Amino acid sequence: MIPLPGYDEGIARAPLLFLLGAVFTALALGDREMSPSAAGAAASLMCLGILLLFSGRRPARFLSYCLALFFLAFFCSLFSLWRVQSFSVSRGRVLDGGEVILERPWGSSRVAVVDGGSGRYLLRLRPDQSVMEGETLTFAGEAVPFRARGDSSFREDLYWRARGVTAEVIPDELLSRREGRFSLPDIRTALRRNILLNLPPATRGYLLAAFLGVRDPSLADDHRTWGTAHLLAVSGFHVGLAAAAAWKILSLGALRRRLSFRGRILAASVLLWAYALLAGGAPSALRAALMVQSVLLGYVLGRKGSPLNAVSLAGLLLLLWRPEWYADLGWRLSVTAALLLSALAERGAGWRTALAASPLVWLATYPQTAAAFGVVPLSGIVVNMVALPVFAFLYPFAALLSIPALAGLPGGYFLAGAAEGLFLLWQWAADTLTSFIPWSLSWSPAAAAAGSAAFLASLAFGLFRPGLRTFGGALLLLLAGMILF
Amino acid sequence: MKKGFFSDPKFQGLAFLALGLGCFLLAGLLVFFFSGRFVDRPSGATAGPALSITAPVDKPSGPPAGEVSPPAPEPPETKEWVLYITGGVASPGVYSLPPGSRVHNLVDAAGGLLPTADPVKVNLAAPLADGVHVHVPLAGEDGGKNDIPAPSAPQDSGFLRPPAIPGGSGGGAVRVNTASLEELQRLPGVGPAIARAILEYRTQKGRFSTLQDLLKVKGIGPKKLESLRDHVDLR
Repeated sequence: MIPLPGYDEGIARAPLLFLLGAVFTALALGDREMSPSAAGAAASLMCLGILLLFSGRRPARFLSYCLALFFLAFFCSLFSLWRVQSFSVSRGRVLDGGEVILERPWGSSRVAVVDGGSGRYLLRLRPDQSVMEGETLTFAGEAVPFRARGDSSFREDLYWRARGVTAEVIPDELLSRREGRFSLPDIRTALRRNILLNLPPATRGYLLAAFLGVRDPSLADDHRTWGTAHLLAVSGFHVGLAAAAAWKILSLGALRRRLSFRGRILAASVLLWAYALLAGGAPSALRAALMVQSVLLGYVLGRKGSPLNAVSLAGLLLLLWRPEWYADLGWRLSVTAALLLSALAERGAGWRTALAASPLVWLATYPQTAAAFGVVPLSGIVVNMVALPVFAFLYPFAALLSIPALAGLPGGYFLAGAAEGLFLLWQWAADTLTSFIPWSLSWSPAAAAAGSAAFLASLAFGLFRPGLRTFGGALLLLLAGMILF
Repeated sequence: MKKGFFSDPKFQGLAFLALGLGCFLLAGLLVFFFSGRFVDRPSGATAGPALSITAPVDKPSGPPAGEVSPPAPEPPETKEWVLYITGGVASPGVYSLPPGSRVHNLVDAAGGLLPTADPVKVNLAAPLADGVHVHVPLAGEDGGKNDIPAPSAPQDSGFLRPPAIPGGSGGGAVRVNTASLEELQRLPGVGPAIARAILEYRTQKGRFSTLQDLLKVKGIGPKKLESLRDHVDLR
């Protein structure tokens, strides 16, 4: 095995972070109508420049590793850009059928994603056209290019392509039937129905979000006001909780005796992926599952990995699988927050890190959230400090209390009522906290620059020794980012 | 031993600094000269397997292959839907909800179901539309006076058109709440006796709100219900 140089320096700690940065930069440059080769070369040069500028310790063969990373970054960038830019939709009439794997509101209409025999299709439906996940649809219609929105920077085509959709179809013939097969969408629909019918309102909304990634509109409004909307999207927080719960269960006396360490890791991995897919396979969930999986593999191999490298690996694999994720707000926010928290963790976890985490994540994600939603509530900084430990307890506890009601056991509704009371108590507490900080920050270039600076500085100080070189490099990177993007 | 230029840490540091800045400069030049120069030309390749293109299915007026059909008609966009809910909820009344809401959102807005409400007789997952009235029946109450939008009529767009019944005269599902004796007999496995039983049930007990209501008809068991499922329209 090739020994890596300088064990406490950037390239040795998290080489994949530089690769991720290069591929992301190349995809963003591709949006500026640069050719794949030029965008790939520019992004790889930036990656090489960062390594040369930041690295204070340069042991033997440092330059060779840097050049190897440079060429790898170039080829990964080229591959990703080629995949994004070579996509096109053949117009024509389509007759196909398959299972509905996703159904959701979309603007003033509803959409369904159907896994057809010859591709995955997006069907745009009217609000009165009712289709449920798990149903089998046969459809005929015209395949058309994805719609472009003139009034928004949102790229609808990339959003759906990141979810594997190959074409949008306007159906003029639609035939639905339920086959009662045992499939993931069927399980999702059955669980959704069970939760909707058997749990009280707040518990219902929270468990729908945690288990199925379905957002309750009124809860979503509340959480947007509190600045904790991420709690309703299946994120690293939820996946981490699921992984911790799985590991706890697998470590219970009887199971611990029956299963070897590797067996428990394998079982935990299966449960982890089952949860991530049941919850809808959102980018944040997939990213977190990949990250936790790499940590679990590290345990099996007896190698303690770097958190930054694990997050980078997850983000990079998603980009190489479907490069369109780079434009997805969920992917961006998830990777930004996870990278920042991992960078803080590289310097050790303590009460100072815990206190700094919430404001730094708020600041680092501000440029993207403000650009997407217009305003970002300041209360989120404080409410998140309380919300994360509260929900780390509330989610598993409410899930446990809801099991009897979901299983249809007598008295189950009253047990779920206890969870409901706790959720209502949380809502009261969050409202009270928000009433002390009722202000929101709208989009401002200065605040966005501060957010980007906080993010880059956290990464730089997580990977490199604090000093003038690191500070200057972060500043240069910020300037380059502001000029380029 | 004579030290080379790159062996001296001081000069080495300067050299790497210069190389790093040079990389940034070169990257900047590339961006400056190549931005906006590349027009994305579709290669003509189809992402994924080729789409299956066929002639229109029983839609002779459909557009020919290769032409883009006009988008499906959409209702006028509204920022909020105004909805009315009555019956077994904590606070019946008129509520405003975002477009795309479903019945359970409206029920939640109205304070949730009362303990006396019958959750089986209202489809909480049903989609809503602006201006609808939803009535949640109480336990023991017959049906519900709902104008939750049903899928559009088959003759309009063919949407959710159930499969043609083998041997049926015109194809399509049978509306068990309005069908005549003769129409009911178009259902698979339904003869004159069961059709009469359906009519009698409808006269005495009212509309069939759910498919399960058909189980209350003499002669229809779970197995028959399964065979009827795809051929029955409850509107």
